[in-house]
Amino acid sequence: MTPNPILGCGIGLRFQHIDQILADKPPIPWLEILSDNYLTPGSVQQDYAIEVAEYYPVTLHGVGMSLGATEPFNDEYFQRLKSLADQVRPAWISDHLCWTAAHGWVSHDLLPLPYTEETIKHVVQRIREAQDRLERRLVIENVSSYLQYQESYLSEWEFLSAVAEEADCKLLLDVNNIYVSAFNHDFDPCKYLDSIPIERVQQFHLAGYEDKGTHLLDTHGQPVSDPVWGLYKLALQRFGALPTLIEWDNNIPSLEELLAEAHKATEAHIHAFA
Amino acid sequence: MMQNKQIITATLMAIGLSAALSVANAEDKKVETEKCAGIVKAGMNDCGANGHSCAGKAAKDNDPAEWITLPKGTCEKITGGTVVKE
Amino acid sequence: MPLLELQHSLIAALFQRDQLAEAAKFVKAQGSLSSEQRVGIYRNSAHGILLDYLESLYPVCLELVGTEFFGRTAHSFIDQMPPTRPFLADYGADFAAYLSAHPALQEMLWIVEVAKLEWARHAAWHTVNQVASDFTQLETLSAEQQAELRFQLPASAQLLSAHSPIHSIWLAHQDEYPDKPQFDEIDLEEAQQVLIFREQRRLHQTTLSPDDWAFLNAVQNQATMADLAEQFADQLPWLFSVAMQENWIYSFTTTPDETKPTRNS
Repeated sequence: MTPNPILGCGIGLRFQHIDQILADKPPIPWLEILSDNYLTPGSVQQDYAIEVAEYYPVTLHGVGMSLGATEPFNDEYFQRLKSLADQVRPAWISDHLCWTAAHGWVSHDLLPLPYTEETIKHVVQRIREAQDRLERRLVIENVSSYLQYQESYLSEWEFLSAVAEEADCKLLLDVNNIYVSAFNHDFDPCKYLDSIPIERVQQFHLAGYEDKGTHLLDTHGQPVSDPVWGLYKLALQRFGALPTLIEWDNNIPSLEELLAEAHKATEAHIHAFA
Repeated sequence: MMQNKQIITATLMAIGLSAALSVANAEDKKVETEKCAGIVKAGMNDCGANGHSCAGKAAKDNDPAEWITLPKGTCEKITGGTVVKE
Repeated sequence: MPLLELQHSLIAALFQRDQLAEAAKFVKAQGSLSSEQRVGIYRNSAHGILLDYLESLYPVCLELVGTEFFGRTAHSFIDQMPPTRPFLADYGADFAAYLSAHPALQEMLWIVEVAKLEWARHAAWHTVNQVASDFTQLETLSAEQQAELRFQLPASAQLLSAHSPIHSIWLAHQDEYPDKPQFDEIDLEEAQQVLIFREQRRLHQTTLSPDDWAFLNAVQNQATMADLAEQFADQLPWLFSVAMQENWIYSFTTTPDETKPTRNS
């Protein structure tokens, strides 16, 4: 059986809402499951994810693959992710263009890469290996960042585009992350969008950031900001009305409020071409 | 005092009876356990890494006073505050 | 390889404050933030994510000691014992042991016992139970096989024996629990034995009588039916009845446990 198509604007599945979703089955175009929180085989969490996937089209979104790391992949992580995927049959699996493990430690936070030709080669080989292990094409997301490395000489959009082309993977453009990084590193977010190969983009993310004065922080703790809605409209015009997902992880609102935010994205789909 | 063999026989009878009863009462039991102490929804936490950044809570790193900070939560209610041993 | 060196340096700075300056050498200074401050944003973020997680694992301990004490202790715990696996749910098991070494808690070790209970709850949520046995099959066994029977609690079961009333303290901090005990009326000297286990999407947490606790402990230690008959004598049928009705015993095995040394007869 092929998974249901992912269309329109969905929300990230959060535990606070699972009971309500399973009881009321509200109309939600699709749900993104944070794979890392459902990786224990046979756990209650996984049990819930499987039930949700019976009623809604789902994608799996992860933070722990550590695609940019230099140490070998964690075999158990891939086994568990594959087993979860076998059960919830996601339309696709995504993770981030970043690293989370080194020196035997795991950050559980998304750490940026230096943007060089050498890193491109390394990451491309890693993404290919991950795609082979999971037997499917991956969708890779750009991260928010708060620093740039001395050795970086490529722009993030050059780096991201080259990785996608050479690894032959898809892209999840997080519009909020582009805006946050553009502010933090003083580049033009429109130029970023205009440089990404159109046919590579599979999905958008939207979330709220927190303004810390000296920098913007990608906290996923509030509604999507107005400038990000503006940038999103430009993204829709360039890449088309692609599936979009609202992420909310801090001060998680009611399901109704979260769905209202997704509805705003749907409205943007309608008006982007008006 | 029963011999071990008799105890085992009696125990197996008790197990058999309980097994039969638990099948028959499966439905009633669900309702009853709802009221049992300790069945509280708390505990299944979804707090994980999820791709967001955190502002942190202004950790005062390597503050030498760290180890003599006193607990100031509800524990004071029943211990009346605590004294740190020198 | 330069990338390896860069990553070692940066992750070291996340979990060791004195490595911030070293990691900052890889980073550009931009605008009003120095390169060290930029690495510091990541140190704060990584710590913040793990602190939020520990707070969600140990909510009663958090209330007991207050946010400031909890935060400081958690921050030093994170630096001392950073995560080593990509599965966040595995992180934090050592937190109770870490608390037990804290000078300010030496007179309040009952808080450490509450932390152990909170971890046991988390562990039970994440443990998958074995397939339940059909106990009606026991009748078909020979007398020898019956004597050699061993029983198992659900795999998610956690047996805790505490010097303090951990179950009552925990309950007193549950807002949604209607008949909860008043926290300031709890006698801290009262020892409690607690069983926690999961049944599908439900977590059970209950105090045990000393007899039930001793019985379940013996079962957990893989005592045979003959051992149990020896130890509990004519109490045994009753202990089993209660345990079966409460679903404390999930399965049995007839083959001898080879992990235990065989007895000389």
